Order: sequence, then C-alpha cells, then structure tokens
Amino acid sequence: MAGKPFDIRNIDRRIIFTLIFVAVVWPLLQPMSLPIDVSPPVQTLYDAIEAIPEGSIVMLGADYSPDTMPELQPMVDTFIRHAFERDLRIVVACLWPASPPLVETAIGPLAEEYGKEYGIDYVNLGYMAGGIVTLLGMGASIPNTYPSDYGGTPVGEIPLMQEVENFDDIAFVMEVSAGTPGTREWVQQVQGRYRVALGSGTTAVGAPNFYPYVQSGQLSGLLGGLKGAAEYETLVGHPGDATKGMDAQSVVHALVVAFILLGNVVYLLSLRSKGRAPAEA
Amino acid sequence: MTFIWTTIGAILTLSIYSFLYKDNPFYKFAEHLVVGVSAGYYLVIYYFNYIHPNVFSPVFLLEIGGEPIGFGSFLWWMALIPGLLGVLLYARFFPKIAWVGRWALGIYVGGYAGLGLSPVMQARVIEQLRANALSVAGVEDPFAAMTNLALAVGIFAAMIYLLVVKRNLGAKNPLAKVGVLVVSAVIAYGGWLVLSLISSAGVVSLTNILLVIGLLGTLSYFFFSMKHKGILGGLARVGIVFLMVGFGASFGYTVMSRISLLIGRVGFLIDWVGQIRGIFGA
Repeated sequence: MAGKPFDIRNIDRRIIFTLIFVAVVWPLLQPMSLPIDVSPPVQTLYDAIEAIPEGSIVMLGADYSPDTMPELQPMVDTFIRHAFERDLRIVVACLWPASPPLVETAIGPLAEEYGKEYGIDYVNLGYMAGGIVTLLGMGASIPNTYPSDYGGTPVGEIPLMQEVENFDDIAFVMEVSAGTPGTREWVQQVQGRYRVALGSGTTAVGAPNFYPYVQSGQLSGLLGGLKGAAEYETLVGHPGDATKGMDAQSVVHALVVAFILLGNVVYLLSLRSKGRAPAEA
Repeated sequence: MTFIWTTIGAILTLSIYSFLYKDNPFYKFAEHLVVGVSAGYYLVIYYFNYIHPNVFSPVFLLEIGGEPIGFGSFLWWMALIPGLLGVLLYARFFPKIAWVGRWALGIYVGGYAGLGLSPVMQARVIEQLRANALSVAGVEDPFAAMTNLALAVGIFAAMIYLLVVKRNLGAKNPLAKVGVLVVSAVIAYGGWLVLSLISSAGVVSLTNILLVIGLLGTLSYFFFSMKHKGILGGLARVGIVFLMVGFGASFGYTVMSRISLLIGRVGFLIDWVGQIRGIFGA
C-alpha cells in the first residue's frame, strides 16, 4: 500500500520550531556582524541626550521585569553608560516592583568602571506603588514620593537628592518600559503636564503604539525592541548584548519571511488545484 | 554557587521549552514553580509597598513613614477609610452583600477617570491632532500649515453637511447651500494640492500628505453613522489599506519581540554550556 503523499500544509510544527532554533543558535555561535543602520527615532534620542549640559540630573524610569530583560536590559545598560560618559547624574525611579534589582545589576558595575559614587553621581530610589498617582506625586515632590532609596536610606541623607525637588530639576527622563504603567503614563502625566524632555525604550511589541508620540514631538526619541537597543549601542560606541543578538534576529526574520512566502505559494497552488478539480471530474 | 543557580535556571528553561515537543511533567513542574514563586514574590512586594505603609502602619501602629500620628486624627481616618473601601471589594465573594463592593469600585473608577481624562485628552487627542496639521510644502511654512488646517476644517464641514444637513434639513435649506460651498472649497483645495504636488513636492511633503490621507481614511473606516458608500466608502477602503500596513508593521514588531526573548534564553544556555566546559576543562 502506498503511504499518504507528503503535503506541506500538514507539516509538523516541531520542524518549524527546530528551524527557528537553529536560526537563532547558529548566528550566536558564528557572528556575521551584519550592518546596523541607525533609524531617525534612535538618532533623535541620542542627539537629545548629547545636548544635555554636563553635570545635569537625568532620571531613568525603569519599568520592566525579568521576562523582558533580553530586549530592555541592553537599553538600560547603554543609557547608564551614555549618561556616565557625559558626566550626567542619574536618579532611578521604578513603577514596577521587579525593576530595582535589575537596574542594580547594571548600574553598580558601570559606576565602578566610570568611577562614579553612589549618592553623589547616581541614586536608585527603588519601587513605589501607585502608577500614575506616583507620577503625579513626583511632579509635586520627588523626595516626598520616594522617602527612601532602594537600600532604605532616607533621601534626606543622600547628597544628590538635595538638588532634586521635582521635575523642574530633571533635565531629561529616559523611560524604559515593558507595559503599564510605563511610557504611555509618562507621556500623559509627566511630559504633557510638566513639559519634561522624555525619551523612551520599549519592547518591540509595544513600540508601534509609541511612534506617534515621536512624530508629535511628545517623545524626544524611541528605542523599539532589540533593534532599537542595538542602534543605540552603535551610536554610543559600545556594542553589547543587543548588537550580538541582531544577527540572530535578522536570520530568523528572513526565515519567517520565507515561511510566509511559502505559505502563500502553497495556498495559491491549493486554490488552483481546487479550481481544476470539477473540470477534471 | 553562581553556577548552581545558573544550572537550575538552565534546567527550568529547558523544561519550559520542552512543551514545544509535547506536554510533559517537566514542563508542568516548571510552570507551577513560576506561578507559585511569582505569586509569593508579588504578595510580599505588594504587602510591604501598599498595605503595610498605607493601611497597617498608620491605622494600627499609628505612624506614617516613621512619623507618629494621633489615633482618630485626620491622617488616621485618611488611612482607615480607603483601607475599608479596599476590603469592600472582596464583598463580591458573598452574593448577598456583593453590591457594597460597587461603592469602592465606583470611587476607584471615578478617581482614575478624573486623574486620567485631562492628560489623556491632551496627550492622545489634542497633541496628535496638532501633529497632523502638517505642511504639504515640505517646509515649516505657516501658510502651508494654515492651508492644511483649512483642509481639515473643510472636510469636517463636509462630513457635517452630509450627515446632518442633507439628511435632516433637506437640500433646500440655506445651511445645505453653505455645505455645498464648503464641499466646493474642499474640491478646489484638492486641485491646488495636486498642482502644488506636481510643481514642488519633496519627499517630506509626500510623507505628510500620505499621513493625512491615512488618518482621514482610517477615521472614515471607523465612522459607522453612514453607509460606506460613495466618497466615504472610497475613503474607508483607503483606510483599510493603511490599517493593513499598520497591522503588518505590528506583526513584524511582535515577531521581533518574541524572537528577542528566545535569543536571550538561548544566549543564557550558551553561557551555561560555556561554564560547564570551563569547569570540566573541555
């Protein structure tokens, strides 16, 4: 008895998973160094940070959790590096409970690398519950909203915080977010209300929602997913995890495009064969 | 010690991905572990960040942020009342008194609506409208921006004419004649637009025009008070094209996002294998 003829429409999905896995592993083991072009939203973000006078205080809003680290941690790393290179002082404020330790893993080693001192050059205020209520509270008084830092030290005892009362003292806010509360709330409650210069880095899946804010000027720039992070790393001149991952990203995208084309060709051919069927009968 | 934790992480990662082959006990174990650990972690975080400082500490320990407060003082009541409202939310588990939960929900929804309404209008409507008053000349030309604004006003006037005047007041009404004039003005403006395109259009101006057309087309698609026929039908079809392009871009970004997570995990596994090789000197 003849076996059932092979039909690509019934292909085992595990074959597709395997191909995707190979497409990810291969470029990670054998980097191809594909070129990374910088897109305008990333360039404008970089230019906005470059335009901040040295010694200014910038805020890093870190609102993400470990599940989105592959996309967002490179943005946080690169922003901190960029700020330290430009002698900007950083205040970290989080609206997500899982964020403060993730920022700590980045800011500690970088501070050591650049010779920065906690409490003078940077401070991690940790997490505060409340979402938009916290943002509005920061508009009135940041020390009252975050009475102590991540380690429990009262902000009154932190030298850097003596210069910070509210958003008037913040030259630029970089918001790295994976969802809500995040970039949208910062745009609505802080940029719109207090006219603070605001840049953002988001997961790729959220990025299309925020590009209109770049076009309208509400955001100074936007890092969209791993590609945005890789572009930012390129501009800052320190290729990191995002740049490493872009080869794999490109190969998988090519594979997905091939799958889509194949699927459409098979679909069109199946329509054609169905059209013939009655005539042949 | 780090290696042990990395190994546990790697085993759990492989357990989760094993679901791609088929459901199995390793996947189930890892899944339940994630749910349990997450629930425990967030319970503690939320208790010590919400309930303890905002309710338990002021109401029972009589202090806020380390500062003492008086029993029955204004601040004490301001901690107690929201705390009680929070407790009322759980009334939904008792059908006979479930309705009292609506009080707390009403205050919660009302408060957030009040806080959000004005900023949302400003950030998502007014600023976006302003951003779409674009120059067609490709330069920051106030005259061109004004003509764009005139186009927007004209189109809105035409829609009002089609929707209200023609339907409800009849074509002989003087208002209808004004509407006809507005429509004529829009057509005239369209003619001018085409001429300016032919004569001096640059890339920027073409982008701006596309953006405005896309916006009007998309809005038309979601305009359900009239049948999608004639001009409105045409605009709605244009809107569908722009929507499809938007969905395609979103799909691409979603693929990128998901693959980024896979890249992160695979990178972690490669590092882990590297550590093993380092330990065993392979």
